[in-house]
Amino acid sequence: MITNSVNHEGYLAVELELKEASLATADQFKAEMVLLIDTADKYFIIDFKKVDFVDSSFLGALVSALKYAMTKNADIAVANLNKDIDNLFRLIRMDKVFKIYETLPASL
Amino acid sequence: MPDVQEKFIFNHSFDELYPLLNRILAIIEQHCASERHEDLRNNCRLVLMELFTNAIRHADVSSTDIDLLINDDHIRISKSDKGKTFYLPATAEDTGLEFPFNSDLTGKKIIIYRDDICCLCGTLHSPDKLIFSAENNDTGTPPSVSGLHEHYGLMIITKIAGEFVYSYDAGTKVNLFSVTLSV
Repeated sequence: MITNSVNHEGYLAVELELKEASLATADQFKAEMVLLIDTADKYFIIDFKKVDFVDSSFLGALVSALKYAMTKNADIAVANLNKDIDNLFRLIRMDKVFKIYETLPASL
Repeated sequence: MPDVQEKFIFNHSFDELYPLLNRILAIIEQHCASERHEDLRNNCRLVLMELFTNAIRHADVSSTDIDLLINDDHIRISKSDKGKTFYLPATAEDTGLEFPFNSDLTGKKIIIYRDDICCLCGTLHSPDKLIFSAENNDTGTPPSVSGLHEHYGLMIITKIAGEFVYSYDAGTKVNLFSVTLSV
């Protein structure tokens, strides 16, 4: 598993247990997200706290997971992006697609 | 004379990706070590990762040549191989296009893909050369998630680079992606 799920009030935090979120782990991430979305949870926040680097393959998997979530009336947000990852999200306008939390909220 | 001009061979496997990435980044860091170059070093890492993963995913050959050139004012990272030619699929706006294309099309700007947030374009500079460009797509409404593109590699490089060019040499059958970043 490359994700670790933690229940919070109003959402499920999905911690990424990765330093590099790239092509090597993109498919596995999507598969794990599909399993989580298929549970009853409706709001997911992907926690990038441990992630140093993200590439386009992983972003593609994130968008693909969001598309799947939408079909189940669920939604995905992201949190704890480092400066470079935050810049990348804004560069390709993923900030228009995903709500970005600076840190994990106490509750929603 | 450039400060650095080095060639590398990337054999398409994850085992070779990170050692080669770190080797090239170490050279770049040696020449662009100051704090003001922090974004440049990160951008070079992104470009290299996108070129490597593009090679693993799309080229039908087992290895790719990587060229690194560092000057006072720019870094150029190039990827070349004899694999599949870059193919521009048909879109709502344009028919599909294969290199080398008809010279009548020189100067034409084509849409490579477009969704509700971004548009990746290419200007046909000559029958064997395309220059990438990117435009933000502001519809004024929240983007349609179901219509979003899922392949952002070329978009990332285009937005980072000072210039991003694809060229095809019909004589040698070599595909070349060349990325220039300002120092």
